Parts: sequence; structure tokens; C-alpha cells
Amino acid sequence: MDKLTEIEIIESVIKGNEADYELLINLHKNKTFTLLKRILKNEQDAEEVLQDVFLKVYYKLSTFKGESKFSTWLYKIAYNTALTKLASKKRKVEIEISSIEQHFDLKELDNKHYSETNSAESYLFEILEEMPIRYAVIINLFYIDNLSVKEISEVINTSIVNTKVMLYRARNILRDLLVKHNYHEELL
Amino acid sequence: MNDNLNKKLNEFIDGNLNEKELENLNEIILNDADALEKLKGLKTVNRILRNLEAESVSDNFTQKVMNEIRNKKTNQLKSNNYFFHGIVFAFVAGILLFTGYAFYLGNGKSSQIFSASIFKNISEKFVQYLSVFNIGAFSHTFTIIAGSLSLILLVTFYFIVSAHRAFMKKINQSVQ
Repeated sequence: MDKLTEIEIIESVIKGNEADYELLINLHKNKTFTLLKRILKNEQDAEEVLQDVFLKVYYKLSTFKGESKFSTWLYKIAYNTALTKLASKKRKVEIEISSIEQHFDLKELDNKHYSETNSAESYLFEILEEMPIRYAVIINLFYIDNLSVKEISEVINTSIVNTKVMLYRARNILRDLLVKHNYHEELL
Repeated sequence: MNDNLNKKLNEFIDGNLNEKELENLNEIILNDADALEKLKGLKTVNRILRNLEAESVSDNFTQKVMNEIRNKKTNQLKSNNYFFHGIVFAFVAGILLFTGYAFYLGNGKSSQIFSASIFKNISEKFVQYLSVFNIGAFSHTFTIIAGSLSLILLVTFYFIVSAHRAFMKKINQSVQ
């Protein structure tokens, strides 16, 4: 028997075949977990929020109209739930949310990461962990989840132009750090 | 100029430049070492980020979510059950009141069943209450009506219980 498509799984769950929801979870859990970890910077919180997200999605599934990709819809719920979690932890999330001109200065952290890593890849992944939430989310959605700029703008609820500006800016920051440490030569 | 170059370089990386824009960029890169350096850097960033992989959540995660969903469903069923028990209780109380009162009127106010003082008091108060509606004068008719209503209530009650049992069976099957 052929594998069920994502839409078929969703329809099946809506019809009451609760067990099929497992398939949907298994399809998306790791990518959503990675996204949440980027936002929450903590594995335990990320898993806790991930559980909330999949419960929310289960109960809201009948409202999914298929106008966007299911993953876009799911990530939007995950993104908002993670921000709520951050707000409940009384972090200054509003600065992260509203500011497009996000200041990113690693200062001594850059030297620390540079000395602790031995390749451009590991160095860049460490830097990614330090990036402001929106930049890290955009990088994550663009490179891991293969979402288009338009889809990313739907997830983070901002304009396509702003999303593109932030993606470029995030890449430029990473590029400048690589160039600073001559990593760009190493890989070419 | 710098911002514009950065924008063009990023658009080049994403493959969003048309032929003319590509030619322009090519010319800039050939004449500007800094621009070439930036392009190399961006290509490196792009290549590394393309290798980013999703991290794995704990092995039993899916099972935890499914258990949570099932638990919530069971709890919801329990609360529905309380509501159902309330309806059953109201039905039983209604039937008892109707039959009790019909029996009381049919056997005269000195029925032995109501001889115990507490029942007597309650039944007398109940009769007084109903006398407001002036139905005491039609005791025989009321007995027939009460009897019929009791029968209807019993039949309805039977169907409610049957429907509820069928519903519970279906839900339990879906939970399993």
C-alpha cells in the first residue's frame, strides 16, 4: 500500500482516525524542535513547547484550510507559542519581536567560539546559537525547512521585504565573521 | 553603494538576478577585490548553512503527545458522564414525583405509604403547592396524565441510556 500523503493524513485525523496523528508528528517533530530550540535556546523548554504545539495543532487541525503548506501553518503556531513561552519567562522579548534593526555584537564571545572550534562549520553553528531570535529563525526556516521568503514572512508575521532584509543581514553578519577569521579562504 | 552591493550579492546567492544584473555584478567583482572577498564569504556561509540538519527530539516524544491526547479525551468523557448522570438523576426524580403523587391521589390522602410523618409532611406540602394550579380537583384525570407522563419518561429514559451506551462504546473503540 502506498504511503499516505500529508493531506491524506490530515483528512484522516480530522475524520477521527486519531492514531494517524502519530504520522504527522513523526513527519515534523524534529524540524519543529530545531526551530523551537533556536528560539528558546534550551532543549527542555523546546521539548515542552513542542508538546504544547502538537496538542494545539491536534485540536485546531479542522481549521487548517490548506491555503498554505501545513509546515508553514505549524511553524507559525510553534513560533507564536515559543514567543509566549519567552514572554512568560519575562525575557525582554518585545525588543526581539519588534526591532528590525537588531543589534548583534558578539564582543568577547566571538573570540571564545573561535578558540573553541576548529572548523568554519562548527564556528558558524556556534555563532548561530548566539544570533538574535529573528535572524536565527529566518536562517533556520530558510535552510533547514526550505521555506521561501514569502512563507517565512507568514510564519514570523512580517512583510516579505523585511524578511528578505533580515535574511540578507543575517548572512552578511555570518559572512563578515568568517572573513574576519579567514574561514572563507579555507573552504574555497 | 555598500548596501546595494550586499543586496546584489545575496540575490546572486539565491539565484534571483536577471542576465543584465548578473553582467553588472560580474563587472564589479572583476574590478573590486573587496566585492570578490564578500562574495567568497557569502558562498561559504551559504554552503555551510545548506548542511544544517534538524536535531532529534527524544525517542518517546510522539508517544508522550499521543498519551496526552488520549488522557484529555478520557477526562472529557468523564466530565460528559457527570452531565449524563445529572440528567438521569433528574429523570428518575421526575418519574418518582409523578408516580408518587399519582399514587397518593389514587389511594386517598390517608395512604399508608405516606403515613410516616416525614413523608406525610412532604406530600402535604407538595399537594398544597400543586393546589395552586387547581389540579387537586381533577385528581383522577391527573392520575392518568401522571401515569402516562411517567411511561413516556421511562421510554425516553430507556432510549437515552441506549444511545449513551452506543456512544460510549464507539468512543472507547476509537481510544483503543
